[in-house]
Amino acid sequence: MASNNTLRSYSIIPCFIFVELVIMSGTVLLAYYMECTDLFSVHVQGFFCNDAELMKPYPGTEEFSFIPPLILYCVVAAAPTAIIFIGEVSMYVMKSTREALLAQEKTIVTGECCYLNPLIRRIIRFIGVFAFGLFATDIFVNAGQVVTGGLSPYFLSVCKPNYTGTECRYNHQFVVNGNICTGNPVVVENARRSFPSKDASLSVYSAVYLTMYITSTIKTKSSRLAKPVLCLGTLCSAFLAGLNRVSEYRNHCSDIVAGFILGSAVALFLGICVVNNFKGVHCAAVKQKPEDYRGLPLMTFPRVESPLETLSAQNHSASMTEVT
Amino acid sequence: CDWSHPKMASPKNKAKKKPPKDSMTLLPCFYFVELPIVLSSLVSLYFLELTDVLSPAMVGFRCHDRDLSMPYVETGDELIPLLMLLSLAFAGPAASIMMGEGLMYCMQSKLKACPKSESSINAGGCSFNSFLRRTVRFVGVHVFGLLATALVTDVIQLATGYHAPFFLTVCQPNYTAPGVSCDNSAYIMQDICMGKDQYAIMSARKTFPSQHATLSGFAAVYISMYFNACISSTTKLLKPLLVFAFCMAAGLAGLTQITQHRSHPIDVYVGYIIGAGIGVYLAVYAVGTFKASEEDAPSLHRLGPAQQKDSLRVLSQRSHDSLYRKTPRVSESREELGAGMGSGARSKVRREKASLVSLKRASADVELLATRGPMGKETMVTFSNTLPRVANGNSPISPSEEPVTTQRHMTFHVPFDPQRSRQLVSEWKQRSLELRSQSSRDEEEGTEARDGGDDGGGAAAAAAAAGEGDQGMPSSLYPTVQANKGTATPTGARMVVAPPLVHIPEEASRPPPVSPKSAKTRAKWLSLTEGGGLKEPGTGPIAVSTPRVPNTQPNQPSFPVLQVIAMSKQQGHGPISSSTKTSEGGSSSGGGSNCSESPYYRIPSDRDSCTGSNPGSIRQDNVSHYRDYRTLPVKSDLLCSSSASSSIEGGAELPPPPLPTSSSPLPPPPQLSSSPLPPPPPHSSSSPLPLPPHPSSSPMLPPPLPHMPPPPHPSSQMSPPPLPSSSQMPPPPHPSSTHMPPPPHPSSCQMPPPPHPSSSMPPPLHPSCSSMLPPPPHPDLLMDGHSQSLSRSSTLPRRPSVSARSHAEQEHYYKAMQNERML
Repeated sequence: MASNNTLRSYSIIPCFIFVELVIMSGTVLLAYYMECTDLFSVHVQGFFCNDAELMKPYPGTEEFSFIPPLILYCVVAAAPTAIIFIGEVSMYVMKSTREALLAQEKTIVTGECCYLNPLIRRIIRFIGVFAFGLFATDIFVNAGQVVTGGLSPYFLSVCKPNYTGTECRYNHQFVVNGNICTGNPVVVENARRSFPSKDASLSVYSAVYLTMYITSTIKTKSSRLAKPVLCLGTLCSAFLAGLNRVSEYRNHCSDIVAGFILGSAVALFLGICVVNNFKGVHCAAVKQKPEDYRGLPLMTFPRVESPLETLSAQNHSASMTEVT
Repeated sequence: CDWSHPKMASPKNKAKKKPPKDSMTLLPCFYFVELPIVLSSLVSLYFLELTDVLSPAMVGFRCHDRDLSMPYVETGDELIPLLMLLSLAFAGPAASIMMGEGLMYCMQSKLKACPKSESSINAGGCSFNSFLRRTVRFVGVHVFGLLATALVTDVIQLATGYHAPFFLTVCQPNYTAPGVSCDNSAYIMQDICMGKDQYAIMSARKTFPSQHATLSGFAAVYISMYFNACISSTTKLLKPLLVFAFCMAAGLAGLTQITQHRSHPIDVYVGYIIGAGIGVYLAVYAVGTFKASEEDAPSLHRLGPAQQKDSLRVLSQRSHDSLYRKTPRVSESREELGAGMGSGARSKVRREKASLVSLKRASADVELLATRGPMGKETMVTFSNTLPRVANGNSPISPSEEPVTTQRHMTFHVPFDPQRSRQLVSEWKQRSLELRSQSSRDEEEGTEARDGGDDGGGAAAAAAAAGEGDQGMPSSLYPTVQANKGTATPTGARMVVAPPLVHIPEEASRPPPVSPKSAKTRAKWLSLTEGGGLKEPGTGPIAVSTPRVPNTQPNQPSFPVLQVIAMSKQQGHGPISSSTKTSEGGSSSGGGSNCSESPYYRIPSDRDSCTGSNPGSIRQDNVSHYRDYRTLPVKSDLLCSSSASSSIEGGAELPPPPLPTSSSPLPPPPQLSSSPLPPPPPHSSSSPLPLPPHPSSSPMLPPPLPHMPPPPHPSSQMSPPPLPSSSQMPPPPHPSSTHMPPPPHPSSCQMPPPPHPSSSMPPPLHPSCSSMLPPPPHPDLLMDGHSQSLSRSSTLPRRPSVSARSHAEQEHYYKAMQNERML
C-alpha cells in the first residue's frame, strides 16, 4: 500500500506556504478591511420622498434579530468544518471507505520525515477551500453593498430625513442628496448596506458547500433517507435564515435573492471546479503520461546500416513531423 | 516571417502561403472567414452604436413615473464610462490569456511535451507554434465575442426601446402639450420631450440590456472559463482567486450602472445573463473550452512508431530518388511524389540508386545541415517555395506554389543566418571527412567530394570538378572546406565561397534535367576549369563558378563555360581575388541582412524577401544565376529566348535604367570591385551601366567588359550594381569575394572571353528578359533555355549567391557523371 500509494513531492509544502497561504491571508485581510474598517465608504444612495418601500419599521439592531449575526456566522463557519472533519475521519477510520479513499489519494512524502497521508490532505484541502470561499463570499457581499449602497426597508425610519423646502413636494421626487439624515449615523450606515444580503449569501454558501460534500462523499446504502434529509435540512435552514431577514424588514426580497445566487454560485464553483466534487485529485484527473510524439518517432527509429543513413533517416522523420 | 507580429506579418506572407497539409486552410480561413466576420461585426457595431441609422423603438411612459425620474448622470461623469469598460473588458482578459499562454508555453517546453500541447503549424512560410495559435485563437474569439455581445445588446436595445431611469429627467416632457393629459390615461405615447440634450434622450431610450452588464458579463465568463480550463488544480486557491476577481470586477461594473441610475436593475441582470450566455457558448463551442485542438496530437499519436518509420523511410527514399533522378520536368517529379508514399518501387529510381549511393550520402549531409528544431524553423526559408515556382516558370508568389506542397518532404529549410549556416557547414565538413575516411574507394571519395562541393556551394562544386580531372583534387576539397571554417589551407580561397553556400535546398522536384550531353560538357568544363584552377593558386573560386556553369548548361556547355570563365577572370582581376575574400565574405554576409548578406543567401532572399529591393540588376543577376544552376527544362527559355534574342538589346536597355539609377546613387566603383557587386555587374551591370542608353551596345558590353576590361569595366559596371547590392546589404562584399575567384580562372582560361562576345548576346538577353519580366523569377524562367549560356556567363559572378540552388543542379550533374561512368 505504501509503496504504490506514496508520492514524493518536494513542491507541495512550498506551494502551500507561498501560494495558498498568501492568497488566503490576502483574502482574509481584504475581508477584514471591508468588514471592520471604514476603508471603503458606502456609496450614498438617493431615495424618493416618502418612499413606502423604505419606511418599514426599524426592527432593532442586528443582535435582536431572530437569528443573531454572531450565531449565524458561527454556525455557518463551524458546521461545515465540523461535518467535513468528522466525515473525513470516519471515512478514514471505516474500513469499507478507507480502501476507496486510499485509491483516490496518495500519501505525499516530502523530505524524509514528513508524511502527508490522505486524511490530512483531504481535510486541509476541503476545509481550506471552504474557508476561502467563505471569505470570498464575504468580500463579494461587502463589495456589492459598498458599491450599490442599497437602502434597507427601514432606512427612512432610521434616517429621519430633514426635508427642507420643495425637496419633497411630490412623491416622485428623487432625493439625490442622501445626507439629510438626522438619525443615528451608525444605524443609518448599516441601513445603507442592504444589497445583497450578507446573511443570506453566507448561509446559502455554506449550506450548498456542505450539501455538495455530503452528496459526493457519503455513499452509505444502509439508510437511503439520511443523505437527503441532511442535505435538504441544511439548505432549508439557509433559506429560512434568508427569508427571516425579509420578514424582519431587514432586507428587501431582491437582496435575499441576490445573496442566494451569489452564495450558491461561489459554492458551486468551488465545489465543482476547484475540489472536483470532493473527489481525489488523482482519481479525477487520470495522469496522462506525457507522450512526446515528436521525439518518439525519432528515438524509436530503426537502426540503419550507416550512421549517415541514420542521420538522414532522422532528418527525414524530423522533416516529416514538421510537415505533418 | 516576423514572429513577433504574427498578425502583421501573416498578411504579407499570405501570397507565399505554403502550408503543410494541416494548414492549407489556416491562413485563407483566417483571412477570408474570420477577419471578414470580425470586421463586419465591427462595422455594424459602429453603425448601431455611433450613428443614428437606426433609431430605437418608440415606447410610451407613464406620467411622473418614479422609476424614470432618476437623476441624470452625465456620460462623462460615469463611474465607468463605456469606453473604459470596453478597453478593460478587452485588455484584461486578453492580457490574462497572453500571460497564461506564455506561461503554459514556457512550462511546456520545460516539461517536454504535454498531452495538451498543440503542434506548430506551418503556413505561409511561417510556422505558428502552439503559443501563437492559442493566443490568437483565444484572444480573437474574445474580441469577436465582445463585438457580438455589443451587437446583440444594441439590437435588443433598439428593438425594445425601453426607457432608462433618467428618461424623464432628460426628456422633461411637456405634459401640457395638446392631446396629452395625465389625468386618466397616464400612459403617454407621444413624443413630448422638451429636453435639449438629444443625445441624452437618445441614450435614455436604449437601456434594456445594459451594455455594461453584457460586456463585462461576457468578458468575465469567458476569462473565467479560460482560467478554469488552463489553471491546474495543484494550486487550489489561485484559480478561484482570479475567477472571483474578474467576476467581482464585472459585477461592480454592472452595479455601478444601477447606482448611477443609468439602468434599471432588471437591465443589468438580463445583461449579465446575455453576456454570460454568449461567453459560455463561445468558450464551449468556439474554442472547445480552451482545450488543445484534437486534430494535431491525436493524429500523430495514432501513427505507430513502426508505421511511421516505414512511411518515413519510403518518403526519404523517394525524396532521394527524386532528387537524383534525371527528371526533365518538375511536373514528373511532382506526379511521382503525389502518387503517394506507398508506391515504393520505381525502376528508375532503383537503377540510379546504386550509382548514386554516394550522392545520397551527400544529400543526407545536406539534410543534416538543414536545421529542424522549432527554433530553426523560424529563421528558415523553404527553398521549395522558390524553386518549384521557378521550375514552373511562375513567379515565386504565383499560385503555382501550392502544388509544391506535395513535395514538401523533399524540401529543405535553409536558415538565412549566415553564422548558423557556417556552423552547419563545418559540421557537414566534419561528417563528410568521416564519411570519406570510411569510404575506401577513390571514386567514391571523388563523388563525395563533389557532393560535398555541391553542398558546400559553388566553390565546392568547382573543387569537385577539379577532382574529376584529378583524383587528388577531391581530397583537397575537404581541406579547403575546412579552411573556410577558419583553418588556413592553400585552397582556402576556394573554400571561402563554399561556406555561404552551405545550405543547399534539395528538391525532389528538381527539374534540372541533366542530359548526358550536359554531363559530358560539364566534364569538359571541369577539366578545363581544373587546368585553370591548378595553374592558378587562387583558382578555387573560379572552380566554383565553373562547376556551376556546367551544371546549368545542358545545351551549350562549352560556350557558357567559356564565357563564365572569362567573366570570372575579369571580375576576379579587378577587385580582390587574392584577399581572403572567403572569410570576409562570410563574415560580411553574416553581418548583413538576410537578403543582402551574401550572394549565396541572396538568391533565396531575393526571391523571398528581397525581390523588391533590387529590382534592377541584382535581381536579374540572381535570376540568371538561378536559372543556370537550375538547368531548367527550358520552357521558360523558350519564352525568354525568343524575346531575349530578338529583344536582347531592348532588354538590355530595360535593365540598365534601374541599374543606372542605382549606380548613380551609388557611384562608388570601389564598392563594386570589392563588394559583391561584381556578380550583379556581369548581368545587369554590363547592361545597366554602360548600356543604359544603348541597348544593343549594352548587351555587347557586358560580355566584353568581363573579358577585356575586366578591371575597369567590371568595376564601373560593378559599381552600379554594387550600389544596389550595397544598399540592399552585404551582398556586394560577398559577390566581390566570389567574383574575385572567378577572375583568376578567366586569366587561366582566357580563351573563354572570345566566346563571350559571341555569347555576349545572351547576357544582354538576360537583362532584357529580366527587364521584360520585371519579376526576378520570370527572368530566371525565361533565361533557362537560350539564355542559359548568357545567363551563365552573367551568373557566374553571382554564382556564389546562387550556390544553394546550383547545388541541386550540381548534384544532378554529378549524377549524370556517375551514370556515365557506370555505363
